[in-house]
Amino acid sequence: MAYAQVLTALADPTRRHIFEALRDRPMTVGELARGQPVSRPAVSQHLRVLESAKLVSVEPRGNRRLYRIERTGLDELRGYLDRFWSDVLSAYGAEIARRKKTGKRGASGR
Amino acid sequence: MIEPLVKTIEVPCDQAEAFEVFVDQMGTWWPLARFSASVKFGMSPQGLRVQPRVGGTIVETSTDGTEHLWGTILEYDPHDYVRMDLHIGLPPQTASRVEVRFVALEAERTRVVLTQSEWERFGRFAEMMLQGYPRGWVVIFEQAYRMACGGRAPEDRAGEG
Repeated sequence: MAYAQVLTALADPTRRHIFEALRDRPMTVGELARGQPVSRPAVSQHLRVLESAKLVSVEPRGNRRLYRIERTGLDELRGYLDRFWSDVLSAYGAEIARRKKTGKRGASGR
Repeated sequence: MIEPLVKTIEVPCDQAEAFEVFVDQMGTWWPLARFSASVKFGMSPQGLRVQPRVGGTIVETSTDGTEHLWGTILEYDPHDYVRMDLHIGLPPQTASRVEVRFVALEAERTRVVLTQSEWERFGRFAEMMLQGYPRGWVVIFEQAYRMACGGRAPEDRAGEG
């Protein structure tokens, strides 16, 4: 599933740093590598993973390639977290309903 | 550029109870069987404990006694508002801010609005949540929820008064 790929891509700290660096502005591999404790080829490899998760897109600029944040992957992650919180809030709502049904107040009920 | 995630649910109780159940008694309802740090480390979750105050921690315990720090309460304003830094046993830099606001609609009806900001920093946390997430659970739970309160799923309830 697409969101799993996004999560896996962002699970790596270096990739997360690269991704976060691109939040500020689009950058080339060289610019990105300067801000990371990893080699330029390693940055390229991480960018490929981010690209296949649709978190990053690349655009040729003359003889350079400019990387920027791409929304598609983020939308997948957002959808996933949206469902996560739906589930959590459902559990919360069910607990409130259960208390009403059993007539039980919270520990500090007034 | 990255807008916060906002989720709303309305619950049939007063604001004080809505707040206390959500925050102070989080351990009574959080679906630990589905979403826990224990699962990530191959353990079984036992409970969840919240220190309800500013600087208080949210800690999950495994059946073997291991503790997993979920996060910290940044703002605690009963019975209106709470803000938490959630990272669930992972490095704090993976944390994401979650704030919950409680709005009294009627004597026995409260709107709960949850906002998660900086959610895109949540890679590791979300990966953990991905574990032990059985297919179809959402469906089963939503059916149970509908039966429990004779209502609809929380998304559908948003905006109802």
